[in-house]
Amino acid sequence: MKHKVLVGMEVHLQLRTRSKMFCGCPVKFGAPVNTLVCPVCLGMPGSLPVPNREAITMALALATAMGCEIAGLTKFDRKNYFYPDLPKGYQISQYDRPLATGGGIEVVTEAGAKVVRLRRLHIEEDVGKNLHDDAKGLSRVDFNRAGTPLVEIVSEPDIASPEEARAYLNALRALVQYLDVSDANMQEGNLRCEPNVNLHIESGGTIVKTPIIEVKNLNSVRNVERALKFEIDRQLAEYRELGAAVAARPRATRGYDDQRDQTFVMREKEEAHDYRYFPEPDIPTFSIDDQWRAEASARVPELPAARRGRFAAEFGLSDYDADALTRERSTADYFEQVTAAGAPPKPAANWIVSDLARHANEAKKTVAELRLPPARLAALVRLVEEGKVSRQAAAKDLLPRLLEGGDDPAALVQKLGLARIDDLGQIEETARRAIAANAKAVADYRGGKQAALNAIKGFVMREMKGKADPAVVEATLRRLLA
Amino acid sequence: MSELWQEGAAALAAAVRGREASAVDVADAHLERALRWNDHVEAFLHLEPEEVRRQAREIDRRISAGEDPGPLAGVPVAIKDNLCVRGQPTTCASRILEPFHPPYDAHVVERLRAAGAILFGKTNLDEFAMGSSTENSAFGPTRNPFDLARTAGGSSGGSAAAVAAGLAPLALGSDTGGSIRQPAALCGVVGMKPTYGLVSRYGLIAFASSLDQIGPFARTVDDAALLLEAIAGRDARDATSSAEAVPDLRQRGDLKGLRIGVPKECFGEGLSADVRTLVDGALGKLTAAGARIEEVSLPLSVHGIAVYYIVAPSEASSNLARYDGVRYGIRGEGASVEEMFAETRGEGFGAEVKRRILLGTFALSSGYYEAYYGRAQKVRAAMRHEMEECFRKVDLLASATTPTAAFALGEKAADPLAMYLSDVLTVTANLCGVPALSLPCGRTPAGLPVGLQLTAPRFGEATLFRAARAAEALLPLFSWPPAPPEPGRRQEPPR
Amino acid sequence: MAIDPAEVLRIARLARLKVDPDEARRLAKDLDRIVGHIDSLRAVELPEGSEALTCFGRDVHRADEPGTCLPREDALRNAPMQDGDFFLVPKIVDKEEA
Repeated sequence: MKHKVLVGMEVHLQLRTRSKMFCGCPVKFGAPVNTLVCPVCLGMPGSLPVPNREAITMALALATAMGCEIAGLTKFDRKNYFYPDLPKGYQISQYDRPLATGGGIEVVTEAGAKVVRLRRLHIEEDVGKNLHDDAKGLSRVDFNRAGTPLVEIVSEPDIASPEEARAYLNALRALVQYLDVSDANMQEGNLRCEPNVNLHIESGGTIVKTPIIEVKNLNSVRNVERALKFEIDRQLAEYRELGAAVAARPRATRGYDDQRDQTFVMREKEEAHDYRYFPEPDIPTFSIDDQWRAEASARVPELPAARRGRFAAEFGLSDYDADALTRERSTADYFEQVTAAGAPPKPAANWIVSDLARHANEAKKTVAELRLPPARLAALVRLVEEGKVSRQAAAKDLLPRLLEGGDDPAALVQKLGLARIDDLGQIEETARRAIAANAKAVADYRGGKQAALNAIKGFVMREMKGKADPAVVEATLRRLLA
Repeated sequence: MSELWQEGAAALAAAVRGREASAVDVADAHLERALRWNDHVEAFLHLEPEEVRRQAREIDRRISAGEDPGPLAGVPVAIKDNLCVRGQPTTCASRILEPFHPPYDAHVVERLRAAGAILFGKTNLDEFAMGSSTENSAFGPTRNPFDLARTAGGSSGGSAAAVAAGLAPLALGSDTGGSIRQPAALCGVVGMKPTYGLVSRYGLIAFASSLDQIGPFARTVDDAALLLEAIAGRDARDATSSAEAVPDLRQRGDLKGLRIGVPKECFGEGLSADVRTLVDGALGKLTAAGARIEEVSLPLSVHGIAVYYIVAPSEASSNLARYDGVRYGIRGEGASVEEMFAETRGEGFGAEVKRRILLGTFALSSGYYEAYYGRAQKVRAAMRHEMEECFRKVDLLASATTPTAAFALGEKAADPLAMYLSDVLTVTANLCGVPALSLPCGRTPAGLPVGLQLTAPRFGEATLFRAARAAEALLPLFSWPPAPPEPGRRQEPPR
Repeated sequence: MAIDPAEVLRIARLARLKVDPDEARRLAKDLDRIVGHIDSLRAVELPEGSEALTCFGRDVHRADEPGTCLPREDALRNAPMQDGDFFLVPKIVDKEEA
């Protein structure tokens, strides 16, 4: 039994405009509840929407960057449903004439690069927020978010694994950050995604299609990946139980419970999907003329995929390093500043992707937000490349000092006594002590366990406070143990 | 000078600006009459004498300070109760909005304040402007000042009756399928629906967004123009408000050479003999004055009611979805939000509103959209094209405003379809977005007013008002309704 | 298209209108007559490729400039139930776990 995974992704992105989609209320995160509201976004009787041109331009820039076909003439439509966080009883969205169609996003996984095709991109308005208070049997509603501009991006079911889903979201995030149209932060809810997933299972020459399941309640890229893994296993189990009859099961929406790492059925009303779309009569249709297209195109910078390719070609970086450097626009910019300051590109990339990225992760910041001046990192990289300090000592002792604000790396090497020890006699003497102190490891090594050498080598490096060149230490040990 | 309440708006503004009368005197004269008459006609849902006098005193203060409050200085303007006035009750004559006090002014209300007008109470209407008789008001019907047993028309019946009875010289209404012109005709006053987009709808509680338009009521064409001038023009808060220049509404001239088309579809069997006689007589006078009357045909207009009763309820079903008991209005009981929604809406809306919400929900629902809403909008586009073609041949169209004079209260209340069909002559202008004006053209033998409707192409208000002025001079002058049978019992303001 | 009481109840659920069975019967009768009238549109002949009318006017937008908001008291003042910060509603059950 072979199976193919088909995942389509529906992503909602909040656009980072100054004001809301259809009124002048500011778009802000974390303001006191119900203070970013006006008659329009509260759906007060008599109020009317007027579309924010900047939001449309941002969406156009995104569509351009993804190679979508932009509509010549488009319009808004009303999507009618009832929910306490939906002020007007309808959401202003776009139905049969979306702003853009087609296009695609290139994603990179260990399996290589591929393009996930897009179905459509449209603009709509966000809803408010419900906070459930189970104790009182009440829900509280805050409308600050209501009316924030969103773009909805719907992909074809081209995503073939949970890993690809993660890569897709990372690529999309990188893209919108490059374009500076959204913060695209899943925790803060300005990027939300609802994947739909089903399997094509080949058995005995026929293909059985499991029903398409839409998954909700996902608040991190990691949870998207976990939920899809769970859902794939669940659908396979369902097939094993029901066989071909599984195909007749209805499409459904399932929520993801990250505590239990599983999905659950969500109750839906029979008429839940009858949204009674019709053209929004309060907003005239609008055309996207050449001038507007040009304005949007001018906002599209060199994009992650192009930059990745250029980094690989121009600096001879691995695909992995090039991808890691270009995921955040600010990180890629930082890398270029470091090389411009005189650092050789390959080791500079390595320092950023491994060491700085680790520090950034711990501080929950981006690499650029560490605010290490590019010239300083460049100086450090050069010191290591010129053999003035070992890579290990530089990483362990020098870099943290620089991140704390230490300025001249060369002076710090002297001050901290970090200069690399090239005295072979001193290395050999320490190596002999290490052999004497690590009888078990020595025996293992001589018995054929190559890895045992690492323990002895670690002893030497510790003794020498990391100032020796690990390669020299290793060579010395092998010679002495031969 | 006759009594202040008998004066027109232009005369009142001139008197106030010229310090011949104070705004407080003007307000008091109208308050006195309104409080006395309202028991009989039920034109106002809300009228607060102190608030009216406060505004009037402020106008007088500005005039003493040497300021010019504007072209409507001290002129009382009654406001249909579907227009938001900050801090004042704005109910749409619906239970569901009974406690609602908007936190903002409608654009037209802002403009009236800026023109120095006195906001003179809120007038009765069919609930959410859905109806042709004000019998759908949750607070009781308005009565025709010329016969209290008959309808004042609707949905802006309160505004029409207030102007006809001299309770206010001017009033604002809204017209979605004839809701200004029909009550104007039935109450013997001038009522006008502007080109769609000429007046901002911001703050007009929506019934059907693509059809709604705010317009003036007055006893003369000049006064109607004065009020329209004050409220017309682009407003950035209404995306459907037009950037076109406001037409010149002050033109005067005769009818010589004016080509007036008479659509034969408007003179079908539904037209009562009384109305036909008066309208034919009026057309004869226009001809005698030099107008070139010619028969035209608008074949698609016979589908106007069908198109209208798909488009308007569909938009209404969506526009009225916001009344869910969360942010304003009344709330029904319910253990869950779903129950609360259904209870709130079930209790809060009256029978006609429910009928239209259901009709519109049906027309938009899955599987029916193309057959109903989609089809109706296509026919509508074709009707608009047909109308444009017609205006290549004629300058204006003329017809009766309504098929009959005022009908008796209760006569059509039990038959929604018969009530709908009474809009047959007025819906076309809304569907095509063109301006139309109703002016009195005489009374039936029973003393009931009849209206002549003139229709112009989009933004053709200059010609429309010029012709209406000329026609007004040829037709019977406005005359006051008879005094009510006895003085009103209640001296307190309503509600 | 004939409209019966069951259809009225289906539409009423969509429109979140509580309608009792008696009312549904009356409404079905009214709506059936009205729909009978509007069904006349099906017979109207239109030119090939007729476009639907959506809106008068074209291309209206606003600049991305923040304006003023309502003070919270004004935003909440008309609410049937509120606590000074939030609008309060009965608990939401329709999206909970089945």
